Amino acid sequence: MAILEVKDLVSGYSEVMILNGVSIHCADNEIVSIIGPNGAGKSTLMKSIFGLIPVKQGSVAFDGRSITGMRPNQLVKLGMSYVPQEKNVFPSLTVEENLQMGAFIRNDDLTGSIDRVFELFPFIADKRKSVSGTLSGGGRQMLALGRALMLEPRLLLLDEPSAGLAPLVRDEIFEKVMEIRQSGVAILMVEQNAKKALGMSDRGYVLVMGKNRYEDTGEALLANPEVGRLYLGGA
Amino acid sequence: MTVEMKNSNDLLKVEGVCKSFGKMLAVNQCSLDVTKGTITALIGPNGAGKTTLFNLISGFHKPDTGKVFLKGDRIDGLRPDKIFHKGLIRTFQISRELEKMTLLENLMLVPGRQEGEMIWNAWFRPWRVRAQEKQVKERAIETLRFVELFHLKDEYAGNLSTGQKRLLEIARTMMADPDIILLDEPGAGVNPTLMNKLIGYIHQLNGQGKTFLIVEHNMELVMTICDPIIVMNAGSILTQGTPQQIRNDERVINAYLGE
Repeated sequence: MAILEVKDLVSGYSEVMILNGVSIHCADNEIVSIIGPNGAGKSTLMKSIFGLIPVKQGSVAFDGRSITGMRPNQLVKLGMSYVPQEKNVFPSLTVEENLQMGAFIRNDDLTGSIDRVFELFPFIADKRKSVSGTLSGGGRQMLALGRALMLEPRLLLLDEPSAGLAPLVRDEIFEKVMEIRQSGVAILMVEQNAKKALGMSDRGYVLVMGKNRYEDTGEALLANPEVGRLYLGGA
Repeated sequence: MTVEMKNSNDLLKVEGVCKSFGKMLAVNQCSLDVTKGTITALIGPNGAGKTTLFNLISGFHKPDTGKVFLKGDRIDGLRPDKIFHKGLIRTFQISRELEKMTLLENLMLVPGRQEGEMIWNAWFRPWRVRAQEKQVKERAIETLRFVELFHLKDEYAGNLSTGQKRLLEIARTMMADPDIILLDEPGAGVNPTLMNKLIGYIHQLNGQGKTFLIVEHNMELVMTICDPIIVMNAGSILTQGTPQQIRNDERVINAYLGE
């Protein structure tokens, strides 16, 4: 059963369409990567799914129910969380306050969820009272992931979780992503590091100029020489 | 004349430049030459160090070590405005137009050292100031016609679309009449129609003798008008070659796919 089903999606900004008919799906507890050259529409796809950009054509379904045109505030209630590439924490708030903000629609006790986030990310647990603007790039990314987990989502959308991180920190973030998936959360991830992303994904899609180009298992895509050429403008 | 500059066609020469930010080595021993009359591309995956290298060349950062030559003169460590007056101009990934000024005013501001800037001239030689201003205005109008923004000459620059701002940036570089133009992602956020125009303008200016060094992710622009192409990865120069060579270079493909 697909937890997310995107069909023939067309979307973009004012008169310019970035996505020209993208179809992808993600099964329950699956980890799926979207790769492709700069300007392929990867981030636009994430934003369109999460209701940040109006969908012009096509449909998005979550858990079998149409969510096309729904706003982010409605989607988080259904069990979808999104971690943007940039500006994904509130820099003037403490680590703990950021996590509380992540769960602002919940009225119950947050202690259990906060503890689970700190268990997953001991690094930020030590800094719970620190202002998050003082965190390193890796710490910030952990906090952003933690914030997204505060609503205990069934599907997590990640936009370039490794962007700007040093190799060691990047690997640590990817390990955490795998742990999150093992806890039963489906993950749809956009990544610039295609090798790392495909290496850990069940399946992947290659997006070029706003359209699906290839769809296969992570391994098969890695082994396909055509995928690499697409990054250099090969047709 | 420095001994290093044997080849007079090397308009810009970068030699073993390094730059660290804290523990991060952003640019590591980079050397490159830009030959007069070329459109040279600088490409590479996100975070390769392309913009940092641009900043080192144009004086926005000072290299930790290494040298930069423009027309045989050392320019590393000079202020950006000094480098500008020596004949090198650059644009930014995010357009930096003066939003509360009209397009015409934006362009008229570009040529430095205008007569009217000196109070002496403004008071005692107003005719000279006026004559020069007239000249600058005529060039600005001509430039706006070239990039097809003339109909917007009295519009505030802040009201332009992203793509139009890109064209205004090109126009501003033209007003400076430099020897070499560094463009940092001129195609970012530009729709396909405007992209073709942009490619056309760069090609045309190159035909008139302008030299370009371009950081760009749009491979259509890179592969159709740029030669040579220099590839950076993880702070270092990976390789250099023709579009055909670069397209088929496994090392380049691997760099784009990540490690």
